Amino acid sequence: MELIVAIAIVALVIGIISRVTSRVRVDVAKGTANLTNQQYAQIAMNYLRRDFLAASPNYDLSDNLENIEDVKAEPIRDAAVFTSSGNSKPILVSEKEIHMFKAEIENGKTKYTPISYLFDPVAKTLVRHSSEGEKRFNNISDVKFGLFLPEQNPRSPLVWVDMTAETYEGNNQTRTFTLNTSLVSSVLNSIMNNPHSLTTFQ
Amino acid sequence: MTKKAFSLTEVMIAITIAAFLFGALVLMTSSSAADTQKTANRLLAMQLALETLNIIQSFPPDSITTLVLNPYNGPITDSSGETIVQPGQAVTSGLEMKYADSYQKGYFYREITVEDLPEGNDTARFLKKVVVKIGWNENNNIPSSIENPHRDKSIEVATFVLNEKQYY
Repeated sequence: MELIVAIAIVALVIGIISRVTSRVRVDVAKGTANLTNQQYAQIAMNYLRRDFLAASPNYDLSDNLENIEDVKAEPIRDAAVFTSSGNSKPILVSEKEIHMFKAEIENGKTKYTPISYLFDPVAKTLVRHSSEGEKRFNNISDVKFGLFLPEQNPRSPLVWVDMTAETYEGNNQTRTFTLNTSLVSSVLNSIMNNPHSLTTFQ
Repeated sequence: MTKKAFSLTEVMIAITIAAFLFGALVLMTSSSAADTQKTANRLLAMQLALETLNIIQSFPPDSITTLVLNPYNGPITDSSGETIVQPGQAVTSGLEMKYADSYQKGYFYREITVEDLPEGNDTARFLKKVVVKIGWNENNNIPSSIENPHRDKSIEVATFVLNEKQYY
C-alpha cells in the first residue's frame, strides 16, 4: 500500500514540476523576450520620427533653377518613379528605404546632411546611415514604408510605417508585434502649406 | 531494529508546501506575461498619441478645428473587431494604411480637442491648444460599446500650434 502511495506521489510531483517548468518557459518567452523586441521596435520608431520631423529635400544651389524648382514643387517622392536629373534631390521613399536630408545652418549657409534608413531582411535589422556613422536596430522582422495623402490635408504627403518586431514561439504559437505610425516633416509642411514657397527657395 | 523514514503525513505536508511554492511561481510568471501585454498597450497608445499630434501639426494652422479633425476621433477598432484604416489616399502603389492586429486587444479610442487660448493675452490668437487623449482597455476587456469613449486606461498629450498667418 505504501509503495503505491509513494509512486502516486512521485508521479504527481513529476507532473507538477513538468507543468510548472513548461509554463515558466512559455511565460518567459512571452514576457521577457517579446518585451525586449518591442523595445527595439519602439526605439527604432522614435529615431525615425525624430529624424523625419526635420527631414528636408536637398537644394544644390549650383544646380540649374529648373531642377531646384522641380524638387521644390514635389519635395517628397516615391523612389520607384523618381529619376534624378540634377544634384538637387527630393526625399525618397521606397518600400524598404527612406533617404532624406537634414538642413543645418553653418556659417550663414544651409548645409544638407544625408540620413537614410535601409531595412536588411536577411539580418532582420533596420540600419540608419548618417554622418555620425551607422546605427543598427536589431530583431526587427519586417519594415514597410509608403507615401499617402491625409484626407484633411491632401497637399502634404506623409510616410506610413509598418514595423514588425521579431516573432517568437510559445505554446507552439508564432506571434508578431507590429507598430504603425505616420511620419511627418515640419520642413515639408512649411513648403507644402505655404503656396509662396513654390516660387522661392531658401 | 526499526527503520527511520518519513511518515505519509510528513510527505503530504511537504508536498502541500511545495505545491504552494510552485503555485506562487506560476502566478508570478503569469503576472509577468500580463504585464508585458500592458506594456505593449501603453507603448502602442504612446505611438498613437505622438502620431496624431504630428498629423495635426502637419495641417495648415488656420484649418485646425475639432470639426476638421473628426475623422481622427473615435475607436481604432470597429464593431467587428477589425482595425481601422488611416483616413487618406495612398500614393505608393498597393499601400494600405491599416493599423495592425496588435492594436486589436487594447480597443484603443482616440479623442482630439482643439481649444483657443483665453482672451486677454496678446499672443492668444496666435496659438491653439491641441489635446490628444488615447484610451485603452487592459486584460482584453471588451468595452460596453466600441463607440463609447470610456476605457480602463488613458494618456493625454498636448501641444500648441502656432498660426503664422495671424497678425498684430
